[in-house]
Amino acid sequence: MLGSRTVVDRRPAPRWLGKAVIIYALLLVFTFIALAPFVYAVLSSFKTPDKVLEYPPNLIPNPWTLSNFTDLFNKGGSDVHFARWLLNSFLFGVSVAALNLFCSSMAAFALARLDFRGKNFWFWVVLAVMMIPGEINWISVYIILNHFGPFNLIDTYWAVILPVAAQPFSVFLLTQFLKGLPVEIEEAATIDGASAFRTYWQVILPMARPALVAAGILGFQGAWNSFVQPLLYLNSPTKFPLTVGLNFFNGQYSSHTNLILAGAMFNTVPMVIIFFIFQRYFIQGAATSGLAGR
Amino acid sequence: MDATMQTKQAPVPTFTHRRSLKRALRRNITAYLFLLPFLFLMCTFILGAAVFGLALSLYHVNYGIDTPRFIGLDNFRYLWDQFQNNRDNFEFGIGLKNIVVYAFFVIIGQTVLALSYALLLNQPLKGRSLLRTAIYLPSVTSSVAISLIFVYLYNNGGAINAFLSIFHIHGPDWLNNPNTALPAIMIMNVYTTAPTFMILFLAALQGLPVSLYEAAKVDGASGFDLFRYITLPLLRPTMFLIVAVGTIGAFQTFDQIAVMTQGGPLNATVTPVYSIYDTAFKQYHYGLGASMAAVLFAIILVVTLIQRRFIDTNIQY
Repeated sequence: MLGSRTVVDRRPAPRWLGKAVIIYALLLVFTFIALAPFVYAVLSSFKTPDKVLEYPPNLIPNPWTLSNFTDLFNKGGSDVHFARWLLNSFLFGVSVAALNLFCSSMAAFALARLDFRGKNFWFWVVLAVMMIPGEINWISVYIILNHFGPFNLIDTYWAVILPVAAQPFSVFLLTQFLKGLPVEIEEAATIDGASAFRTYWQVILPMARPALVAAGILGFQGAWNSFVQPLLYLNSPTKFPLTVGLNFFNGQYSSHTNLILAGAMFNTVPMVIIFFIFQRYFIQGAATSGLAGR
Repeated sequence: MDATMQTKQAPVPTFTHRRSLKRALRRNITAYLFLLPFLFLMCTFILGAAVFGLALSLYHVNYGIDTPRFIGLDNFRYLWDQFQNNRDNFEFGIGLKNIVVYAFFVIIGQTVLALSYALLLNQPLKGRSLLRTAIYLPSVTSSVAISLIFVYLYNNGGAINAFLSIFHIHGPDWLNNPNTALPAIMIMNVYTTAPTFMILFLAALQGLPVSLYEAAKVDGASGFDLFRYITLPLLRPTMFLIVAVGTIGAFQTFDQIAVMTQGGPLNATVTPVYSIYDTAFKQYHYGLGASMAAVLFAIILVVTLIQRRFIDTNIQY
């Protein structure tokens, strides 16, 4: 959507060199502002404990050390489970993304491709619930999880997965996409006698791949970065995802700046790599959120 | 969609009324089976939870000790009373005051910065997509990681003060000074949210009609005229949208506060949502916390509705 250069490139290039220089200078400043904190934090995570807080600070570590990264896994008190936090974050992200894709794509298929009573009403509800601010649900979800049928889900992985496994935004994104697919193929499938489920599974889903990838990545990102839900609904340090683990670690060992920075890198770098690979989808998602807001 | 159904049924007109009813029923059941997993989760954890949350605000909840007791509007009366009589010490009230200031500056900051990013990146430049990637980066990372990085940068002997000292400015101890802690978090928030909104501006800019610009240029309009009289007015709907989304986001600020300052120093960075967390999950006053959430919800709703009145998305080119 944004990658296309239909409109912009038809405009003439900057006429004078002066204008181009100003634009590039401004962009350079903005890029510096955007990248400087990361670059500095990355470099500082390779500094030794005494050098990380020296004043005036030096940009380049001297000497370079990898011990911050290895110490996170080896040292620390008995309540620091760094490898476990990393694994939890990963499992959390994957489960939320998968479960959300499953629920949302089926709902979107119904809303976009099937005909039934209450269709418009439910689509409206999906849009409306996006406006509910999360914190109004914090306390009630806590109580619901505590009495989920016969189960107490507080301090289990379910407590952080189930409440975010159905994301209205994904349904909106997928519904918009599925509405745009041609009807003919589906008609052919129906005439061939395929059931609705087979049409969904074998015809529609493969065609919806770009939208599914976008929804999946956004779901993973949301879970990987999420902080509040696990903070509220998990108690045991072994179950924390990395975000809550880092905050916990920061509270206990706030003077170990070098370790905190190295830990933050474990949270940041995987997301940045995913972003570089799937950029297009992030930007599509962000642009669609504007559509939903309307 | 309707057209599809008709074409499908048209070749078989021999259906009796009863059979077509049966078919319609089956069609509805199929559709609702597809919706079921999503609807179950949404109705439990979003819709139902919201209604339940609002109801909880009418209860005294001593969770795990005795059963919740219905107390009508007492929680709200208590909040109002505290708000009136105990202004300087009432965390939720201070939070509301803080968040108004916070939202005001953050919204202006992020909208202006996002628009500047977008206008620059909309120019036909070499390496544009690379620059866009770089600028978008702060929006990708988690609030916790960003907050931890900024705690390090805002440190009294940290990088930001070292940078300021180049210009002979003696920087404050940002996060430990009640006068600078909130502004410090505002700056960080503008920095992380602007790139997201930049995408919305870019999408809008690329949808503007080229013909208008060409016509204006023929009429001899300068570059600034084009911006002032064409671009800016046509961006109005997007701008209002960004302000509305930004307001909702700003009013819900929590993560940064929990990681960086826990509301301190001297309540300078307490936000309403942090106060809800404190009341419900640290002091275990669940009912009171729920009533604070209801008040905040009402405030956000009113602000959004007021803004909606100004949003005019039906601009014709």
